[in-house]
Amino acid sequence: MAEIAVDIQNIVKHYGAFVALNDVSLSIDDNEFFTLLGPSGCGKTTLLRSIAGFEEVTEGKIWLYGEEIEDLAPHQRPINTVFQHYALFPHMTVHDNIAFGLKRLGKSEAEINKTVKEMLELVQMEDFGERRTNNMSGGQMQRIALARALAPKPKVLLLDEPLSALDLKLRQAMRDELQKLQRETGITFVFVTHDQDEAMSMSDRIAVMSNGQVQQIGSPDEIYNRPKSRFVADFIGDTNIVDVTIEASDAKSTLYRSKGGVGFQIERTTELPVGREIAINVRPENVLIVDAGEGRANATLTHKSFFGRTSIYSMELTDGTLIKSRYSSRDELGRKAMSIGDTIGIDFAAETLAELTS
Amino acid sequence: MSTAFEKSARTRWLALSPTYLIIGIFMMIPLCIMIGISFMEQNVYGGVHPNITGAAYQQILFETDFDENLVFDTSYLVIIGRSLLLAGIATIVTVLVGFPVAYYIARQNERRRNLLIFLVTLPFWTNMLIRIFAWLLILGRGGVIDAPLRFLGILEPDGSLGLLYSPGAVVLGLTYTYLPLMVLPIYASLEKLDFRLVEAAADLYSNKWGAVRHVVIPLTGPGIAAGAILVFIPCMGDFITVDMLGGAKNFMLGTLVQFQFSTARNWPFGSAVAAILLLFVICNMLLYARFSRADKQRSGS
Amino acid sequence: MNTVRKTKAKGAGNVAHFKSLYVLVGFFYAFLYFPIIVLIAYSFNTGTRAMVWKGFGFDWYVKVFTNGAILDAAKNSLIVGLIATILATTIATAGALALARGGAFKGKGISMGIMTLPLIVPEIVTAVATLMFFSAIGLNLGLGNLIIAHTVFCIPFAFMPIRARLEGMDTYMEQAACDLYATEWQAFRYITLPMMMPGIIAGATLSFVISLDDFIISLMVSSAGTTTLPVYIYSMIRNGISPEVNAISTVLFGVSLVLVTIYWIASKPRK
Repeated sequence: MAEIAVDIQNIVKHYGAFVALNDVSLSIDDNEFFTLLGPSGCGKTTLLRSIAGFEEVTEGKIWLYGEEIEDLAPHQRPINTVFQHYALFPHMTVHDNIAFGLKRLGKSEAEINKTVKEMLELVQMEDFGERRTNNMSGGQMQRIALARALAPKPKVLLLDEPLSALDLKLRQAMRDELQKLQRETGITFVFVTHDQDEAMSMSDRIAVMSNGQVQQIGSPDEIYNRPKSRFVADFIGDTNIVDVTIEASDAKSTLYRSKGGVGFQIERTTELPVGREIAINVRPENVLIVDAGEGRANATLTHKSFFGRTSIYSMELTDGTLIKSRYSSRDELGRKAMSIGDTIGIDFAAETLAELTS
Repeated sequence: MSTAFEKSARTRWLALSPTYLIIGIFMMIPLCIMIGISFMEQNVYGGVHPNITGAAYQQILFETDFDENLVFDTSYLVIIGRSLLLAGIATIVTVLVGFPVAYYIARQNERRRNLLIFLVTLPFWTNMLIRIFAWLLILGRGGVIDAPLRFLGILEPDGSLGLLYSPGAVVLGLTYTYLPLMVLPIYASLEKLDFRLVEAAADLYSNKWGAVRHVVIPLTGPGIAAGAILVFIPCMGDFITVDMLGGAKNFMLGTLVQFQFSTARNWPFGSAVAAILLLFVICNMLLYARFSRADKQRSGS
Repeated sequence: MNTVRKTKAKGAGNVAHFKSLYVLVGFFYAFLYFPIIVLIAYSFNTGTRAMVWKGFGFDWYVKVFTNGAILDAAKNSLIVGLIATILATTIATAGALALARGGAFKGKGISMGIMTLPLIVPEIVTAVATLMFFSAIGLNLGLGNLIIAHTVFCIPFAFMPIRARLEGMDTYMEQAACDLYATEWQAFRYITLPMMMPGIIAGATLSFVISLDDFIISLMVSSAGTTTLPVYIYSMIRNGISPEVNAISTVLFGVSLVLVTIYWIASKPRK
């Protein structure tokens, strides 16, 4: 059982009448790359800043490796932050920036110099020690900010949308570097972003947030393939969501009936009671187009969009529900052509269906 | 430390207390004393007798003739009128000159703009006394204007145009002194202006003057108003220019007050005039504050 | 925005440049500097009659720098200026920190008003009020009176550049400092204060200039033996135009030039 690095219990944060965090609880494991993901305003940054100590929580507790910290000032918490716009000290050299935390901790001159050198090597900026921080590129400042935050060897590293100010190519390169850094140092990373690609590609686990609450926590695979709520399913990537009622269920299969009367008999068991109204979610890449009558339901092809690598087929079920199917061009080789208006069948594997209970 | 200021009222007030102390004790109390003295009786040997009287204020409008009757006296009203007039003219001139200059500067590239603004600021930070003294040299008898005219025979060898010690000289001096104070706020306003708006307006009105009249000037209104306040109010209370360029026949409020504390030794009267000047300034500031707040609401900034 | 400006300035000359403006602006700067040039020119006139040119020389400068009364007055101006600046800048720095970093607190408006009060009250009013105040409480500290009076009106001048600088500094640096184990005081000392320094220098310079240049308040508050340079110059002028005034004026102009340049450099916004 992994050690818990950060344990957050029932955090509530008010700004006057506005509730930024509404009873948030989660726990982050040691040596984990954990991401807080959500649209702007969802509270992810507020939560991060609460862990750092920049925001005082209205209610709730925070534990860091077993120690309660929510009443401690930022400088008393062995946690360091990489800020969105780096916040490098403009009146100091790179060396002094990185050394800052170590100096405040009272480390010896020799140890400071050694650590700064190590950090510069870690982020591949060995020659930058004496440079001023005010005419460096975004990527360079990014790495200095990282080095500065890692130098005091914090127990947890917080990253507040550190890549959002970088251009695309650089962002992708930095994603790999950050992951590598986390593995090399073994420090728990808590990462905040609104970019789902970033979250999915870098994280061990993701907490999807909206409106001050945690919607779901899980690995990228779980979040993507087994979303539990409409919000999570919709927020990550493209998806198909159909409102249904559970019409029948037994030990081997479940029958979901859509509002318009289309029935889906799926070979999986459900733990939910008959009569319960939920939504079902199937990702477009899991929707297969088959001949009419041979799939789980029939549909009329309404549109095809070709994107080079992939194509997206839009179709309408008999009850009017719109479904999308995504094919990679490779998988379409040899398939007979379809035209708008054709009646086709849709099929999907039972395990690709997720029940959305909220 | 930043959060300390945000969170702790004690820290804030601790930091502000020296300001409150110094300005409270050495500015506000003196002003109160001044107002108090304006209601006291003059002591001709200097200072005041501790009697309460409205005599000082009365003196502004009336003088007593030999039979102890109050006679309406316009001399001080003339001074007040002159102050308003000359300060007003100076303000208008500074707007007329300052606006085009600010416009020109705002349209230059960045380096030139900085240089030009620097050159505008520099005279303003030079001692006002010596700048006005220079005008004495220029306008005075046999000065820079008289000398070539004498040389050319237009004037007698010891003649003079008599430019000095006139209302005109005062307006010239005031304009000269406070011109930078008009240019800077207008420039600040213009710098924020998006000149694409002006281009679009020039299209609409089919010439650039229309664009200026209907777009630029309204948008820089706040800047012009700020400049007007910054010029008009100091002009009303100015001493150096009025004293050195206006002479004894062109008293304005500033020189009138000073006179009461030197030759005339009439502290209550001097305080009364100063109090009225202060009141006038406060009213103007309140008006300006209300105007700029209403303007901000209108333009939705 | 910058690129838009550049193309407008080059191509669309119609609204950007009114041709007649060149003339007006030229006249404007000539008007602004003409008196100063006259002063400087005449300061090198070796003749005694200010308006009659006798020859080029530094005679009057020598006279100025050997004139005991002038040097005394200059010394007084410098002492008052320096002490008032130090006091005003310190007070203004503390106030600026509270006002710029304190958020929106009750009493902020009033505090701003108090801070800028000396700017609003006309100088002549302040001058006479201060005179009567010192007389009423019988305070007679010589230069001390002047220092107090100068400190009062220097506070807002020191305040404005400091506050401007603080408002332009976003608080992330200080947060980063605290994140990196600096206490509030250490964050102030190592981050806030150094970053504020250009503003403090600008404020101090401005305050010093204002103090050096002050006339009417110094006139009213000074007594025998505590004359400042501008007050002494005034008496010289009143006693007839003396060519020494030209020389002193040129020196003062040079001093202003240096100080304004320092101020300008210190207030250049950091990228």
